[in-house]
Amino acid sequence: MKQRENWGSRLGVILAVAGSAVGLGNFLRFPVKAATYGGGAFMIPYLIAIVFLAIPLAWMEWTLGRYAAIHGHGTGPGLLDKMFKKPWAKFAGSFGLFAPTFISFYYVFIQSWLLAFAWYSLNGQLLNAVQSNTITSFFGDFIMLNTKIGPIPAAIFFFVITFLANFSVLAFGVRRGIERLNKYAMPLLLLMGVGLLIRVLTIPGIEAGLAYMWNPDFSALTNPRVWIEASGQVFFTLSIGIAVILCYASYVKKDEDLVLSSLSAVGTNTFAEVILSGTIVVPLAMILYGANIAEVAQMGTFGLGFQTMPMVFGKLPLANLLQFVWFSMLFLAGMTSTISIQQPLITFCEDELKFKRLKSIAAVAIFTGFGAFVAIFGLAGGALS
Amino acid sequence: MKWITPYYLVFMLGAWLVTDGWQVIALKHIDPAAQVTFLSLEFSQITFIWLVRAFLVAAILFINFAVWWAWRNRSSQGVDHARA
Repeated sequence: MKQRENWGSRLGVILAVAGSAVGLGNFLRFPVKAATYGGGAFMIPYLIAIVFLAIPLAWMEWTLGRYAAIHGHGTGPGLLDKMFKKPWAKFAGSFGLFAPTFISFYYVFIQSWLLAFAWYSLNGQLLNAVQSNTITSFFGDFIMLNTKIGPIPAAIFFFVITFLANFSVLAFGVRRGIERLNKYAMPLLLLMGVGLLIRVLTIPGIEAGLAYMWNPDFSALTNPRVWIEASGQVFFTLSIGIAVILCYASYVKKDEDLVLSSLSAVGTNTFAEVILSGTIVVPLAMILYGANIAEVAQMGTFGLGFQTMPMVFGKLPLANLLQFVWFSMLFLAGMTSTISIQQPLITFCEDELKFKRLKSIAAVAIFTGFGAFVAIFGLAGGALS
Repeated sequence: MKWITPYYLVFMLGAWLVTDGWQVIALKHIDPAAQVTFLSLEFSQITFIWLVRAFLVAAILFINFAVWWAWRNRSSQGVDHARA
């Protein structure tokens, strides 16, 4: 059996799995869900779902990943084939390939928006759009490919850079690519988050937003939707159930403590989501909209991240810098997640199709590039619906 | 882990299907009159979304073909595994 790669250290694997989990769901989706479904009240079913769904399922995926690795596999088809020893099993296991790959079709495009907006923060275009009250059309024109750099839509330009950057990291492999990226990106991301948190906590009038997020209105708990959305958020944020953790865990050394590593990764993600995102985004948005939390929720995931947040930062000193930190933090979160959802198909190519690393990268890049093409040009038509 | 997690999971999935899931799957939230343009071609939005879904099904079939191919090659090399 061919020797498979391993993570270089426990810290490396924890940061990589945490990096997979900490993504746009933490900083864009969670605040909208929390704002829509009761603020502090949302936290209660959310934390219950973390304990009863996320942690057990994460342990299960880690364990399955180790079991698969013992038999020379790192993805669903090989794992299920080994477990059930039936012809259909390997095809059932393909869910663990196409689920994360399909997410990557659109996720990379959104990740590239963050790179673009980090750039627009630096060169002042974003601040101009905020000050001239044209941020909505600025964002809309960008994602609908109407903003051009020469003859090329700016969104395509930034997408290509992002796409190449992701696959460049993946080309270096698990240890020298993914692990090394996460060892730098995750501490930097958390540092940026803590920096923004400190800035937000020193803004006069932030108390109302903090009160909304941290004082639960228990009557909201009688709404079943709050429970469904909180459970859904847990799946989305921790990348559980789509075999990404399974794939990463298949590269863990045999003597590694899976329980501790898994809990550390879940803990890091929950810190980023509840403490950083929960304290930064909704309270900050409430400064702009006052107590009208329904308006915050109506902005939606992208409205909140790409319009409301730049608008609020635009009112503060060092606006460009704050906007840049915000979008850079999101870009790093997006990148560490994107590479994790592209890795299972690469692992499949290496383990099962016996492709060399670079051939696997090329095959997956072509396949996901084709899917991303549909997502990019079909965005206006509702391709993401 | 043995009892609460599976029932919690099934209950939440069932609740989602009843409240939102079916609406999303059946495209009840899409205006039937809405038109979209994709690469200069005009479609009704519902048709377009079904075409995107067909594309995803094709991608699933392609991945499953790769799975079949991988096990077929392993069979010919005499690797221990389930029947292809």
